[in-house]
Amino acid sequence: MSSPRLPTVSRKEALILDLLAGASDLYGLELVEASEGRLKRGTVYVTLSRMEDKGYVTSSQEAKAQGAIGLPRRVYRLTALGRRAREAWAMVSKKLAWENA
Amino acid sequence: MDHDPSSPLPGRFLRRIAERVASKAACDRVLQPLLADLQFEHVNARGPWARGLVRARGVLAFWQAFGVTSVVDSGRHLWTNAWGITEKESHATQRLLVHVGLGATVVTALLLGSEYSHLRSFGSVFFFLIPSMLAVALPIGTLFAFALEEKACADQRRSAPIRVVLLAGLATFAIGAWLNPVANQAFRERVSRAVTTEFVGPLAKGDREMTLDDLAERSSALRSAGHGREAKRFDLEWHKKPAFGASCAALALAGAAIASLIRRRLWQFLAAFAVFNAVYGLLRIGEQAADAGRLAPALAMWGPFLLVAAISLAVLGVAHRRSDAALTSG
Repeated sequence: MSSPRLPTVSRKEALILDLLAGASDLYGLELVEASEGRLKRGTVYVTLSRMEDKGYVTSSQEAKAQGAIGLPRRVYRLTALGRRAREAWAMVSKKLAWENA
Repeated sequence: MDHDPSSPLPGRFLRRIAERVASKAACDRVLQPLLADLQFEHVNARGPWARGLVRARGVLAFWQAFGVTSVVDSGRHLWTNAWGITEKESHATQRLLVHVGLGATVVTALLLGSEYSHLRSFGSVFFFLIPSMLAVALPIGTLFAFALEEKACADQRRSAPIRVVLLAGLATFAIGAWLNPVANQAFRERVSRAVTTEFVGPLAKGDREMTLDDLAERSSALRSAGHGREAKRFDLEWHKKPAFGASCAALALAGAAIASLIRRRLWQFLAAFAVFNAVYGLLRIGEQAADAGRLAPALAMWGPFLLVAAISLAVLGVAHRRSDAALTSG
C-alpha cells in the first residue's frame, strides 16, 4: 500500500509562509523587501508560482485603478493549507532543533 | 507618483519576449508579475539615478527568472514528449526502441554464451562482463534494428529514429565511460581472488578499467615522462568511449541505407551482418596500427564510423533521388 505523498516546505517557502502570515496580502516586491535580502527578485516569483501549485498561496491580479500606469500587479495571500503547512513546519523545526545544535 | 509621462515604462520589450518565448503559465505567473513590480518601482523611484538602478535590477531579475522558467519548461516539455509529440511518432519511437533493445539483448546473450564455458567455474562473476558487452551490443542492435525496420526511415516519422539514436548513443557512451570501467575492475578482482590465495587487492587499473579522467591523466603523465608511444594506448581507449557512442548514429545510417536498397528481410540481415564485420575489421586494423604508432588513435577509433556514415549518407542520397524521380515520372 502506498502512503500519501506529504507536502514539503523548502527553506525559502517557509520564509514566504512566515512573511505572508504576518500580513494579509503582499506583492512579490514587498516580500523581497521584507525578507531583508533572503529572497531575490529573480527567483521569488518562481517560488511563489511553485507554492501556488502546492496550494500554499493564492494570487490575484489587482484591479487597475483609473489613470494608473503600468501592468496590473499580482498580490499573494496565504491559503488554509499554507497556514497549516507553516504550523507543521514550525512544529517539526522546533522538535528537531537539537539535531542542528 | 512623479513619473514623467514622456519617458516610457521599462519592461515593454521584455514583456514581448516573454509572451513570444515563455509558456503561458510562466508568463502569467512569473514574468508578468515581475515586470509589473518593476514598473511600479520605476514609477515610484525618485530621480534618474534611482530609476536607472531600478531598471538595471529589474532587467537582471527578469533574465534570471526567464532562465529558471525556461529550464523548468524545457524539462517538462522533454519529459511529456520524450517518445514523440504525436501519437504516430511516439508509436514509431517505441517500436524502434524495442527492436534496438532486442538486437542488443541477442548480441549480449551470444557474447555471454561464448564466455560462459570458460568462466562458469567462477560462479556469477561473468555478469560483470555485461556492461562491456552492452557497449558493443547497443550499436550493433541499432544497426540491425534500422536495417530490418524500414518504416523507421519514413519521412513523416523522422524524429523517431533521431530520438532512438540519441538514446542508444548516450546509453552506449555512459556505459563505456562510467559503468564499464567499474564492472571490469570488479571482474578482474573477483577472478584474481578466485585463482590466487594471496590476493590482497586492489589491483592496479588497466586501460579498460579507467574512466575518461583516469585515461587523460595517465596519458598526460606518460607523455611528460617521455613515453609518448605508450601513451597512445590510453589515448586509443579514451577515444573509444565517445566513438562507440557516436557509432550508434553511423550504424543507424548504415541500417537505413540497407533498408532503402534492399527489400527482403534475409538480405537486409545479411547486409547488416556484412557491415558489422567490415566495421569490426576496420576497427581492429586501426587499433593495431595505432598501437604500432602508424596511425593517430583518434583516426583509428573514429575513422571506420566516419567512413560508414559517409558511404551510408551517399547511398541514402541516391535512394532519395531515385524515389523522387520515380514519384515525378509516376
